[in-house]
Amino acid sequence: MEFDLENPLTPLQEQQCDDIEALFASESDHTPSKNLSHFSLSIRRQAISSISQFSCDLDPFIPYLAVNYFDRFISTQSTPEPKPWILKLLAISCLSLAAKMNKIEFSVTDFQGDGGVIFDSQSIHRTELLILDALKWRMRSVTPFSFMEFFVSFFLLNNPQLAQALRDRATEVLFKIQHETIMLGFRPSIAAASALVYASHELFPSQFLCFRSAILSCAYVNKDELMECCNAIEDVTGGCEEVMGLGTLSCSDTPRNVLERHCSSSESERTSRAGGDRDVKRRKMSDVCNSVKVSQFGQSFWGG
Amino acid sequence: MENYEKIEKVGEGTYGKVYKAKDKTSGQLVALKKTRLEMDEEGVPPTALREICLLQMLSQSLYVVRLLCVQHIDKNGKPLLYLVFEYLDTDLKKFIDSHRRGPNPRPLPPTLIQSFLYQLCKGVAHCHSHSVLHRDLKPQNLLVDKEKGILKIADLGLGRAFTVPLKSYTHEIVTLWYRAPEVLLGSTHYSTESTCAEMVRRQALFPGDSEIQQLLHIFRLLGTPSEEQWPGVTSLKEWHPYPQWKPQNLSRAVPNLEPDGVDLLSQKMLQYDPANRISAKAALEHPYFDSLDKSQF
Repeated sequence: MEFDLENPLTPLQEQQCDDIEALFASESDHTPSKNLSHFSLSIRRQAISSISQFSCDLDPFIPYLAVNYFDRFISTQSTPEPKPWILKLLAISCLSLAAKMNKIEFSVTDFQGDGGVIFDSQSIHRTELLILDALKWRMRSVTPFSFMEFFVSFFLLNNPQLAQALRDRATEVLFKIQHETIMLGFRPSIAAASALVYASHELFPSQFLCFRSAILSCAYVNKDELMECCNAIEDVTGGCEEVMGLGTLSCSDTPRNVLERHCSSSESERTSRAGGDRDVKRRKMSDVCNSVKVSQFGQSFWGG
Repeated sequence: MENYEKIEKVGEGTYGKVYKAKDKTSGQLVALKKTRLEMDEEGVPPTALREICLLQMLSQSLYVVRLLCVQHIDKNGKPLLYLVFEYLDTDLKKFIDSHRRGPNPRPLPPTLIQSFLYQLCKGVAHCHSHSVLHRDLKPQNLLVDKEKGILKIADLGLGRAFTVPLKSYTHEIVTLWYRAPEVLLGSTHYSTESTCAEMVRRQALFPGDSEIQQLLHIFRLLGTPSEEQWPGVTSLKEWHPYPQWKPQNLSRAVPNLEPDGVDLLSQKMLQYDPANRISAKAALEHPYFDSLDKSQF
């Protein structure tokens, strides 16, 4: 069996304290700078839009990784203003590297997009080397997904379907929030823990408090950071329409079906589903939070 | 690479040439492994990317030689890759030889053998937990820090992207003396214990000079394997009706090893059937290591 570079902690039963410690210790080596300049952030937005444009048919993890590479790359640069075509070239090269790391095969021509600038493969390969050098060839990325299994184990879910529902929803949340500038401020492990806490609140409201304290019992989790990150996630996912970007994940049908079977959601809720996705979420949250507004959801996590 | 001053060529590793060099800024000694980066029409090959990542992860263990950094340079349009490793000046082969020959021949202290074997099992277990098998484990590839008494695994031959395979991949790469019988018979951890025995004996346990010789050496000491001991052995590709030897008492081959060590070696490690061979992780729990202060590792 080949070792999974991005998910080093599976299979879970063979987890060793050393490996977990090493993973938490290494996350700072693989995360972008928290203090990107205003200017870098605007470059970042353009690059993300290129990456999204070039990756419509890809597994969403590939553009996710590409954005991570790009973030780390601009963290190392004191950028003179790059020309738009250079930015596109960087975006394509990050995607190409991400695809290689995931052993997804496709030729460079697949990246050309429609009608945009055409780059020859040599320029892309040279840019790949430029990125590799800047990232010191550390192409294994420690992302929130690397910590997912570790934190899911804290939930002690005996039913594999429920665990999967939780994983799926948290994954969906993580894909949605990656592009948000505010998320650059959180360590990948905290993002993972927060996405799971957030997802558990949606999916298993009655057990939410147990889950939250289980996660907080973990020595690697700082309560304040988790709170801030949960609030950020809530602001991002609850506030506006579909967050820009990947958008290829289908909405959470599976989790809800599973929930239907296992969590006996109330009849009124079921009938209200016709009212749309967000309504359901809103209602579920308000069941627990005693009808606080969605935007205050984060606060209700922490009892005020 | 201008930051490093090459001192001398110290060898040809699995990857290509290896140089001893000095970091001009810090003065730190390093081992530079130079390798051609074979670019294909896809640019940097995915295997190269992934293998470097694995090396970086493996070298997080204290018992694996540390990969300090990776640098690429362009030489006449051809990309070269330098892997910069920490430098250690002794390997286990030289270390053992210095106890055998020279002005003061003496056995290796039993506690040191125990400690080295423990560290070796730790390193091997770490590699195995990353699904990496060291295909060429032997004393020359185990570097020794004499002052600190630390042993580190080196020359991890992941290298499908870097190595020019000599012949077929599994068959030729593991140095003969430490090669497991199932590899010789046409089908690794086995190398660990041959290495251990060598530390005790100060000479190789099975010094064969050809594949057949190598097998006969093994069979003479451990007895010719039977179907009963090793189900499926007679169906392996290179199996022939070999002379029937009875197993020898291993403690005579390693007379200075304490009984627990002999047990680990003979009952657990030098087992014919790979399925019966103890894993590196389980070996760490063997009674042989009970007297070792494990907290130091």
